[in-house]
Amino acid sequence: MIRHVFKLMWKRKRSTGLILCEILICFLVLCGILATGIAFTKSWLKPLGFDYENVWSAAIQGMQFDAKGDQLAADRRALSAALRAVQAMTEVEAAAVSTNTPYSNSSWIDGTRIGGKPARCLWTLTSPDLPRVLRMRLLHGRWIEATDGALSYEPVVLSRSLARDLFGTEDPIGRDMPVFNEEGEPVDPKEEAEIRRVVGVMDDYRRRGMLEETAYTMFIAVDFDGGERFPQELLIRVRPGTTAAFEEKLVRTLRSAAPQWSYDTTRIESRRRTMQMSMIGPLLLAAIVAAFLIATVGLGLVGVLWLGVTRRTSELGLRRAMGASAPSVRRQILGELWALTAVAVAAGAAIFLQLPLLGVDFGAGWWVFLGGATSAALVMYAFVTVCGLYPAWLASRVQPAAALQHE
Amino acid sequence: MNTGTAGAASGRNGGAAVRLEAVDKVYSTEKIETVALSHVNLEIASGEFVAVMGPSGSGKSTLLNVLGLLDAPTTGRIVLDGETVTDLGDRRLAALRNREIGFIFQSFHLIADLDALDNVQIPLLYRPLSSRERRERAETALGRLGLTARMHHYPTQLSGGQQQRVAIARAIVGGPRLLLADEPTGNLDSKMGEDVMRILEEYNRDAGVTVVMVTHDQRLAERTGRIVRLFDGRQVH
Repeated sequence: MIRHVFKLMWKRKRSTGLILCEILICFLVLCGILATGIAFTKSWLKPLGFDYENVWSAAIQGMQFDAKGDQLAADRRALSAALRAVQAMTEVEAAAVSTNTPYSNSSWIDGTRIGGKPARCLWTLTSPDLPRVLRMRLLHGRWIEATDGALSYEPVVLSRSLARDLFGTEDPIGRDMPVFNEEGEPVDPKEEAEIRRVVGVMDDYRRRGMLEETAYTMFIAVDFDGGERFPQELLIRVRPGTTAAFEEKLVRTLRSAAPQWSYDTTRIESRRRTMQMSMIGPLLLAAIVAAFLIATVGLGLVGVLWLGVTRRTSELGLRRAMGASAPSVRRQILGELWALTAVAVAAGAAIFLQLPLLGVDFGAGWWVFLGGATSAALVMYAFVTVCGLYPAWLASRVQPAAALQHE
Repeated sequence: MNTGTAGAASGRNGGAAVRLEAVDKVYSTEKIETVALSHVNLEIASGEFVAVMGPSGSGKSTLLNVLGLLDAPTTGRIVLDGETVTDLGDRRLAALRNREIGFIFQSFHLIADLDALDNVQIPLLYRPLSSRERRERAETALGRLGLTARMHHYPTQLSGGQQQRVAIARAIVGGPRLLLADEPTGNLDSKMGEDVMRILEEYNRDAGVTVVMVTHDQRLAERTGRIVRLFDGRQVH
């Protein structure tokens, strides 16, 4: 019967082509949605790497990014003073300056190469108290310290995934960060003016939350004595029970310590909500559009199948006369639909799985694509079965005596 | 030739292949009731060749549909090989049609997208047979009808007579005991019609299969063992 069904399908390829295209498009849309869903679920299940509750941000407005000479020295002093003033507040448990702060849209990114391929790395310039502020977990080695300025190298702390992908199973502590020339070829780090040496490994830091894949992160100590670049944001962990009145006091404290700047204060929890909405919103919209598309395809499918059954009344009557029972007619209509779905799914999977094979995997990994295609195939089969039930039922209701008169 | 109506008729092999007892068939719509068969009592013996005649609308095709278990009578009883089949469920009726009954239609009813070999295999699709076994049986049936060279031809590539022979091969491939033919020569010229009639006669004679044939052709009807005449859904003498 399977051969018979495929033979009929092949012979009727012109009329079945429309259904095939509908199923193929629907399958590809489902692949995209489900692969995204799997990637997000996978991401959601991973630890965040920090704690955002009771943490405030104070973004500095008016600090020049590329200040030089006296201005740079003044900024250095002012930032250090502002940090000290905040740390001295009774409500504050810990405070640090940092780039790449949680749920922020601004990023400091540096390029590197991992496994011969270019990779992006969050270049997180920060002060020693960051792990206390964000309650980050040190996995191995040590965190950057205030006295690190005296060292002959620049100590860096890597996120777990960066350390793993750079150094594999080897102990990264004490290893120098690889350096590459403009052509992407490795250069001996010792030939560089400043060697960056790994002193610790932290848990992965997923600063944009659960919906973001793990980003490579390298933590570097801010140099208040001779540095040329500074973070323009303070992160402050307050004691539990601190009221909203803290915000006003915080701004007052900052203004008295560094009056040349203004400050934009927000709770990290509030930023998290905003960012999640901005990430989930478009996804939700895409899902709604996809749902409409799938519903349209479903209605189209029912219509085309219905028409097919009507056109095949005489053939269905003949089959009933030849010994097909009503259930076997239903099975045949659904079987033909499943066979079509098999072809569409195979073609769709071949297209969809090209993406990870061609390296276009958006960092999700090939198995997310495979999972997406597999689950889309299952959903597609359930979907076409639901769409085919009514036309199949109609086909099984064909009265052979009447159908055989049908021309 | 024996012109018969109701009551028992003895066939060569004895015993009734099929029996209709007081069968009525009424088609009802909201406004109209059409009596297609009225109180038909008919017994066809095993191995008999019966012709059914009557003017258009007399109920010939309805009688054939009722005999072939394609249509249920409104009242009355159908006994097939000694078993009352009137109240059987759909699956059982389908199985009986598949194993016991072969159908031949005036307009052949071949599936245009399938070649002769695949068309002949259709009844066998509803039996637990391997594809090889189905193919072999279909090839044998086509061979018996002299269509070996045409088995991969599509219906549109065959003449009317060849199409009807394919339809006969499809009807006999499952080895039915009752063959129902609804004007099998109606769409054919006299030579092809003669050819089809000869095949039915041979099949009836050689295989002992009961044949019931609806026809308008008196000449063909007279070649059968018995003629059942219908008028306005009633059997007439």
